[in-house]
Amino acid sequence: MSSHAKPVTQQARMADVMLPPSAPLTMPKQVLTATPGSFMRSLRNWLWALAPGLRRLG
Amino acid sequence: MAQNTPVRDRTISARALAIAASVLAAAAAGMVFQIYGAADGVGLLDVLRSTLIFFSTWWLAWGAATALLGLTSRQRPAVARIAGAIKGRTVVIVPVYNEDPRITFARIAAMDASVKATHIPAQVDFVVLSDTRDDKIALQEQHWFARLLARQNGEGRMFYRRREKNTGRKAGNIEEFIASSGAAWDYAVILDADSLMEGDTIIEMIRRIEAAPKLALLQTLPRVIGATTHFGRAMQFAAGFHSPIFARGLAATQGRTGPFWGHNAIVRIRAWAESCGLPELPGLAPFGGHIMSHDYVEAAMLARAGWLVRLDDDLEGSYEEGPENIIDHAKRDRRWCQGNLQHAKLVTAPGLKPWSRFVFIQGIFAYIAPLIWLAFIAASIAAVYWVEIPDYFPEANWPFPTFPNDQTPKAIGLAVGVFGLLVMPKLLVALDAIFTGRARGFGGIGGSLRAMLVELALSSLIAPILMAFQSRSVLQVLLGRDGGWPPNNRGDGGLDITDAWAAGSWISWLGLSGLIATHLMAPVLTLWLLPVGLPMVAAPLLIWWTSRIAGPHAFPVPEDTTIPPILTRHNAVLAAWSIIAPAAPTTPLAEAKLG
Repeated sequence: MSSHAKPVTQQARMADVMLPPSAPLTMPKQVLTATPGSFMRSLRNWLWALAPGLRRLG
Repeated sequence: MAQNTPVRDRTISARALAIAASVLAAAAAGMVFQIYGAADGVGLLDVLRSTLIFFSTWWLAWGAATALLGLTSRQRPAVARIAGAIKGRTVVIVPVYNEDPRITFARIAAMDASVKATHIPAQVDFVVLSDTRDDKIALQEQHWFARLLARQNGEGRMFYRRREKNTGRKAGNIEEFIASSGAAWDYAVILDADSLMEGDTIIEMIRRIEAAPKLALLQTLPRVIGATTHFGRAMQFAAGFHSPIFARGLAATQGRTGPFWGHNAIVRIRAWAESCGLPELPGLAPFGGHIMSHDYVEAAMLARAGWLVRLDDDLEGSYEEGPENIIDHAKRDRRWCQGNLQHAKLVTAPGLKPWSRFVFIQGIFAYIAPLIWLAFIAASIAAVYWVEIPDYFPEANWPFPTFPNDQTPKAIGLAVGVFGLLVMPKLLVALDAIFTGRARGFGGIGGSLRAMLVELALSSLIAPILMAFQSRSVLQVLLGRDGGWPPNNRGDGGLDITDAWAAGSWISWLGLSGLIATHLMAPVLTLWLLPVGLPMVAAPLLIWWTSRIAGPHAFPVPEDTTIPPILTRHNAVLAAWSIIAPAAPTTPLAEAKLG
């Protein structure tokens, strides 16, 4: 709970009632930045996965 | 897994059809233009214009293909669900940021009462996550939250917390809550401050996510309600009349890699925590830093982790409010523009599903499309300006003139085709609404057709103004200007003419200069450019007029005649609370917001 809003005493009293329960959950930061070559690798894998279907079409 | 195969096959077919149809239409338009332009020899400007026509037609055709898919797809069949008691615990998350707490918390009271009225035993708690920066509004929030607790007997199942720093904005707000309290619940219904959902809808969403263990996110299609101005009601009509069909088409192409629009959706908290921890992007804003349009990215990250993300367009009872005037629309669009262009950094993110990457590209395209049209107009003016005078006597000693081929029919055909791509989907949706009886809620056959045509005319009038705002936003982002996070204006939306002039006079000057330049450089094009130039010149007037209160019969929607129960509940709470004196400090909220 933030102590940003005043008055503090009133807010502390309210906070007991208002705050959500403490029940932590791990939330790891995800990787969204491509490393050199990772996009091409993923594109190659994707094309490779498509290959059987394309062969069937052929 | 086996029963998912037909779904997957349908999705692949829908995607292939939409891509093939739109690329073919674009290629046809590009080729016709090339033939038209090449009548007097192929120049660099002709190739450039053909390329621009190709891309802009592809974008229009993509929208038309989505509508056609929506018209031809069946409504999602009833989803199998677990009968009996609901086991999972659900929390309804309401993030707020300098909103009017009386109105927002009245919505929570209405939704809580609506859930209780279903008489389905389920644990559905509520939490307000405040990122409000204004201390006066924060005090009001605490006051109205205490009222909410007392009214709904909400102690122990309704919570409020305010962050000291609003790191990561709305996404950071939710992330902080999930990390500190998420384990207390299984599912979270994520709302916006202006969202309203029927209790039945919330319960149905819980049942559907509980019945599908691989489903991580279920998005509803919110209907816009509460609009009062010409602009607001036109948008509300368009959203209610056309969007369900477009959404069904979107659901058909997105399949298991569905969309997330940031609110009016339910998520599986464990999946969310595992997959949706947003990193900061390297570099400075607008492209680096916090991810602004986080919803698309969260949907992509869930799909990357193997979870199912689905849009259930059959779910009713999900509502939101929309902007009431062009300026508020443009402000929101500025934020979305920056967020979507920022996705350029994420298109190559490792491991994403190919369709997620395509969705990012679509989002970027939505914002650069107006610039492509502007570039096409500029290139066309240049092409006429620099056109060579035809040589009617190319052969020496031959007395008869040789006239160039007349390509006018091709140019007119192309213009009609492009216009058709814009209008045809709306006409087909109207026909569908008439034949399925859906038109009854929109004023009947005559009323809905009239409203559709007026909306078409109005949207054509304001399209050049929105195009100008959007182009400015794109240029600002490309020049590195961060738009920040301005709070939403949820007032009545009325503007006076001085506000409208201040916001739109630059568009008038731009339109006027464009028309004069065209008249001087390429007079033959002046007539063609009037539909774009004149609305731009009249921008302040149009901005002002469209923000005026519309009559009750303008752009009818079903909610005008059949008021949703949740809205009746909300109005009742507001009426009860309007006679309660506000808490100290007594500074009016409007003033506090401005301050």
